[in-house]
Formats: sequence, structure tokens, C-alpha cells
Amino acid sequence: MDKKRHKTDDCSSVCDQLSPFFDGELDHKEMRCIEDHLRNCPECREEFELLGNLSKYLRVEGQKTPEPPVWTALEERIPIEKEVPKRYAFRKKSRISDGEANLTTGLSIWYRRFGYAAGLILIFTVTGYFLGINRGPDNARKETPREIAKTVPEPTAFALNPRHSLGDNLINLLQSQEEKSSGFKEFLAFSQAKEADVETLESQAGFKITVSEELPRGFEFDKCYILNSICCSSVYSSYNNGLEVISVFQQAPGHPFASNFNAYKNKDIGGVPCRVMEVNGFEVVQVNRERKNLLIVARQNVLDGEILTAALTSTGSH
Amino acid sequence: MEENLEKEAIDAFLGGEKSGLQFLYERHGERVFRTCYRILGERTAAEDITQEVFIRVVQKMHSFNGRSSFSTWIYRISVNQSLNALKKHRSREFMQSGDFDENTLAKDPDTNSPERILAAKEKKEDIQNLLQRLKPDHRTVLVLKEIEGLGYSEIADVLKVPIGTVMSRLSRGRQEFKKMWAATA
Repeated sequence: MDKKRHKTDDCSSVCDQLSPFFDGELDHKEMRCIEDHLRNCPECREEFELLGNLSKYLRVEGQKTPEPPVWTALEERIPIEKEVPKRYAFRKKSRISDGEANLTTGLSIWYRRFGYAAGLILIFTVTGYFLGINRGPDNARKETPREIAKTVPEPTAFALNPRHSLGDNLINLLQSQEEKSSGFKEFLAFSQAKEADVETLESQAGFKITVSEELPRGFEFDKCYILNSICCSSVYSSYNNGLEVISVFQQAPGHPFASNFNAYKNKDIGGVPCRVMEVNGFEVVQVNRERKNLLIVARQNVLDGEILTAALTSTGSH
Repeated sequence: MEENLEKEAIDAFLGGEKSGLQFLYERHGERVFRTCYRILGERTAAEDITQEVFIRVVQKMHSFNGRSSFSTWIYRISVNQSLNALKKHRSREFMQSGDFDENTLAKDPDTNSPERILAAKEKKEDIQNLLQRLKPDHRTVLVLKEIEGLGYSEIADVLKVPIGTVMSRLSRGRQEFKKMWAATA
């Protein structure tokens, strides 16, 4: 009876190691132990052989995929900038030798220089136009969130501080609520465990994003993250263009953003009926979707229909 | 030699030569497509994501610092784009269902539905159907190891997880796949 149990324990331990053993990823001593066991255990040997068959099946069948798209089909769909004057040529193309330099080449250099200068002037003009303007629908200049933040007094009721990033505000708020709700504890641990997915964020929202190297917490001051959390979803942030939005699923009663419902007023944002509460330079936007109660926090005057739709779409992606 | 060619192609592309990108596509396009196809399970989606991957390569090529190999880098982009597309597709279905519960969110909503299991039993399932029934994390590791032939450390580098995590996901993925495979044989 004891021998049987011991054999089962050994088999159980070996079976757990069969996968890395098969891949040769164990150290020499462990490999020898398992080899010795397999020599004497037909059941485990059968498991090992089955693993080998499985691997072979996957290797062979896995290669049988449809034909990938050809380069020409992809080429026209990938935005590649026009070729610029090269410092050198890729080996498939031949270089222009010194002997081929002539008047035409000399003139083309001046045309290029003129083109660069014109391009620079155009870039400065356009940039100056957009930097100087952040206009609302009535063509009046819109204040940027930073400017709004400077004029707002220190917060009192909520912990939202317009002088800090929304990410920072949110994490402070949630940490202060941590003891009150186990749901938030879970949320915080979960969000901190996940890595940001900046590429997704950029491709979905098209916002300019700067990212710190230190990501593990999932939040960063003045930076942008996506939180792969069941409780909190996307965070969009870009201080460069003055846009900042956080979207949060309301997951538990007593969420600080969800309290004080009387302060919410009905508002239509880009055709989406919402309830909005203004506080300390921020808007807390509540959107109902059947049984889901979604809260979106943004700096005042930055949330429009397009961003709201993007935030609502992205918040489901976890 | 091969790495030098790749480096030349990258430098050429950064210098404005489109042929550099073409070289990289001809070298890596098939494996990118195959990885995306095996993770997503659908050809059109895989084509779209392959395009997205190379758009990302174009956008981020200047930041590729050579710390990992180009193939690891492009595998990482492929896996990330595929998994994000998968999440987005599933969340859309989920949001429309009106069922919002954190436990439900944590599970795959349709992989092991009764209808799907019945369909699998009624015909011999092919590899793609079996792969689709795995959790995305397990499926990804299985694809990278068994189909793409990457080693544990390279998979860990692609997914940015510890090697131990690769080991456990692969072990579980194989066990689950083996059960389904045996059941339909």
C-alpha cells in the first residue's frame, strides 16, 4: 500500500515535469531522475509518448495555414512616407558613381534645398496656427486642461486635485477607499499587476502618449496607461495636447465617484445621453448601459462624442 | 550573415528605402500571419492584424534598439495585436449581451459553450478548432512553442513574462489540448 502510494506520488511529480522535460528545459539532475522513472514506469512512458505525438501533430498541422497576403497587397495599405534623399543605397540598388555627377544633379540639390525650406516654413505656420488655437464651436479659444487646472481652487469634497494627473487622482482616491471596500482592494491589486498596453491605446484612441519606463504599477503621473482590469478599464492621457480622460466601471456601491447623485445633471454628449457632475475642474460622466453603470472622469471641456465613444468601446476590452 | 542582412534592411528603411521594409516583410510576413491566424482563428482577422503589425513596425522602427532580435520584437507585436483584437471582439459580444459580472468577465464567454462542444463531437475537429477552445494565454504559448518553434526564453521575452510562467502555461495548454484531441480522435 505504501509502495503504491509512493509510486503514485512519483508519477504525479514526473507528470508535472514531463512538459519541460520533453523540451529539454530541466537541469541535468532533474532530466536524469525523470529518465530513470520513465524507464521503469509504463504509464508515465505512455504519457510521454502521447506528448510527443501531440507535439508532432501541432508542428505539422500548425504549418498548414492559408497563404499570407502578398507584399503588393500590403504595400498600398501601409502608410510609408515618400522616399527621401538617401545617405546610402540598399544593396539591391546600385549607387550613383562620382563620375555621373553633372549639372542636372547640381540643380536638383538646389531644388531639394528650396523644397526643405518651404516645408519648414509650412510646418512652423501650421504648428503656430494649432498651438495658438484650441477653439470651441463658437471659434472662441478653449482653455486647455492645464489652464483650467491653474484657476481651480484646492479641492474640498472629493480628492480630485486638478493640479495632479487624473491617474494620480484616481489612485489616491482608490487607496483612500481601500479599507471600505474589498472590491477596490481587488481592483487596485489587479490593476497594479497588469502592464500597460500603450500600443493598443495609441491605435484605438490615436492620442499622443508618453510613457515612463517604470510601468509595473499601471499608473504614472502625467502619463498614460491602459489598465487590464475587470474593474477599471482605459486610461487616456496626454498632457501634450491637453486631453485627459479616465474611464472607470462602477464595480461596487459606495464608489466615491458614484455618490452624491443629486449633483448629476442630464447632458447629451455627442448624441449619448449622460449625467454629468462637475467637480473641481473635472467632469464625472455617468452612462447607463442596461445593468452596467459606467463612469467616465475627464477634465472639463475635453470630452466630446468621439472621445466618449472611444472610451466606451475601449472599456470593454478586458 | 542573416542578421547583417536584416540590419541593413532596417537601416535602409530608416534611411527612406521602402525596399528595406519589403525585405523584412518577405522574411517575417509569413510567420507573423501564421501566428496571428493561429491565435485569432480566422483568416480575414489575421490579414487585418498582419497589416496592423507592419504598420506598427513602420511607426516604431526608429525605437527598435536591437536588445532583442528583430524576430522576437515582431513576434511580440504580433502577439499583442492579436490578443488585443481578441479581447476587443469578445468584449463587444459581451457588452451587447448585457451581462456584467466580474466572474463572467474572467472566463472565456463562448469557448466551451454546449453548442460548441456538441459541434466538436459531431465531426473530427481540426487543429484550429481545438486551439480556439484553449484560453488565449495557453493558446499563445502553444502556438509560439509548437508551431513557431520558439524556445522558452524567447517566448518569455516575447510575452514579457518569467520563464516559469511560460513553463506552466505550456504545460497546462498541452494537457488541455491533449484531452480535447483525445476526445475527438
